[in-house]
Amino acid sequence: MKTLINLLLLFIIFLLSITKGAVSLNLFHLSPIQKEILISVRIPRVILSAEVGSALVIAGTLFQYVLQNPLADSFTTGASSASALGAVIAIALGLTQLLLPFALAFSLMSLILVYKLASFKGKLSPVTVLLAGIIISTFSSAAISLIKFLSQDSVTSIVFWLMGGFQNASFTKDLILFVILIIVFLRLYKIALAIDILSFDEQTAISSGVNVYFLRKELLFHGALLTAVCVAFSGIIGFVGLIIPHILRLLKHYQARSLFVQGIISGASFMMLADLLSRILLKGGEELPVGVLTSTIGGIFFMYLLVQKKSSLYEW
Amino acid sequence: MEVIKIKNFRVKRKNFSLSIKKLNINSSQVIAICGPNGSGKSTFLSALAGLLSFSGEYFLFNTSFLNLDFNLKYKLLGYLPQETKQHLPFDVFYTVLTGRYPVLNKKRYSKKDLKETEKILKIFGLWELRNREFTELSGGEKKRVLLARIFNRNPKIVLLDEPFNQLDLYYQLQLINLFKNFRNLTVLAVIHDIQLAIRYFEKVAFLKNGTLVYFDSSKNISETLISKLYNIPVKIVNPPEENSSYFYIVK
Repeated sequence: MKTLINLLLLFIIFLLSITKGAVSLNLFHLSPIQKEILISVRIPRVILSAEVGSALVIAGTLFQYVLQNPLADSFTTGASSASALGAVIAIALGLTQLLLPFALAFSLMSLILVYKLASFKGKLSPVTVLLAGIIISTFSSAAISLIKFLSQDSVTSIVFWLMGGFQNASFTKDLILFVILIIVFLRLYKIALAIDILSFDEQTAISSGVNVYFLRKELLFHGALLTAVCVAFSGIIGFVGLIIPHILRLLKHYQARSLFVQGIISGASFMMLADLLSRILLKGGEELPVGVLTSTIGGIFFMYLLVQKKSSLYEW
Repeated sequence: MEVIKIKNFRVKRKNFSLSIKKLNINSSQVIAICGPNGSGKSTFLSALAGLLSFSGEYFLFNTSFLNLDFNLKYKLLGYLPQETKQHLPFDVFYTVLTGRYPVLNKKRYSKKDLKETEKILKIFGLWELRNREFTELSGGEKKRVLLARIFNRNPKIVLLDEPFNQLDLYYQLQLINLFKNFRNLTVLAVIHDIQLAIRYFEKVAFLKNGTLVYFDSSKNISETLISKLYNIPVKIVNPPEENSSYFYIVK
């Protein structure tokens, strides 16, 4: 029932998103130009935003399980920034066709680094996870700025990676992300019960019959893959993977299976709404980068979580 | 029948090593592991649970532990570490339900799993708390949830690291009765309360500095053993109306 309402909400937001924007469209009275806008600009963009929202929520949830930290997501672990750095390096080297593999390699490397830095005697320190994430984020952003500074003419669009947005959407990108999302989701759905057990400390999880080290690696890979594709298609969009799972937990969705299902739906809704806002907030058809929007909301939310942590749902 | 057989068992940690020449544990025995702080009790249990690497021989139900299937190991064994953390929240019911993960056939909890969980929750007096979040519970309640979680898989051997810690007297006694009521259950429990060990456990294993110094019936523990182990003078008394002895510290 609840899921049905969420799906209905998703559909309404989808309709709103494809009709509103710099040009308002009436689906029943479309001129040929409006039809062109709808099909080749609006729809691919809205679909991409929905998929990126879902993917970032799934990735965030996975990082939270692996790093045993409710504050982990693609952005706070530095995986997004590292992916962006990979993408920018690929562009700077003139290897645009290798953009995705570069982004993936960098996000994987950053996650392994965070994991290694934060684990001590088989335990993961929540504070160190965040610190390591900040280090990687800052370093990657600085490196991107440096590359931008050194190769001014070839990479003018680099700002795009730092702020995020769905301007470059296409049906091809929609399809690629859709396929990856479905494959990852099906796999996660199948192993959801084992993922739940990762919530416990390592000793308890292993002695519950879960191959913790292998599972963590697998989840890190899925998370890195989703993050890399999202960043390659839409730049860095922060905090979505942090806000949505937390709200879902407040609504008593504790089990991985339900977090994944509800996360896909609400992540898509949230991101379509954020993108819609970014298109209509400024007068005169100007666009706000959607990453700026989500990071602002997310920053405030993150602060609230940190203040709340003593009396919160989570053990530290 | 021997459920655990150990020979030349050695576990090395950074500044500590545990070595046990020989130890055989029969089925359905309830055994207390005692000893001073830092004597290797927890190391021993977690090595038996397969969480630390060891050298030497370790047979579980006459099969070498290293050759046992990963899933089968934890079907047979229930291990309760000294401290369990839940980093992402679950309600009490689901926390206890996850204890059945090793005995699942399919990758989904069945009606039977839910029923067993209900049963075990009622045994541990947790049914009223089933919808509460684990992280919100008090220390003693958490301990009961974790114990229920271990027993929910119906293990053949339980390795419990300080299970009585934080439990009130009522639940301490209940846990002891549970040890006896579970069919064919072998218990190895690290405890600090020697009185409890002598009164309710068949056998006691004393560790000191990483070696096994005593493994025998709890009836045969002497004044000198306790005095030597803990470096405190103790006296023993045998009240005529009780069939077990009491220690008290000489002032």
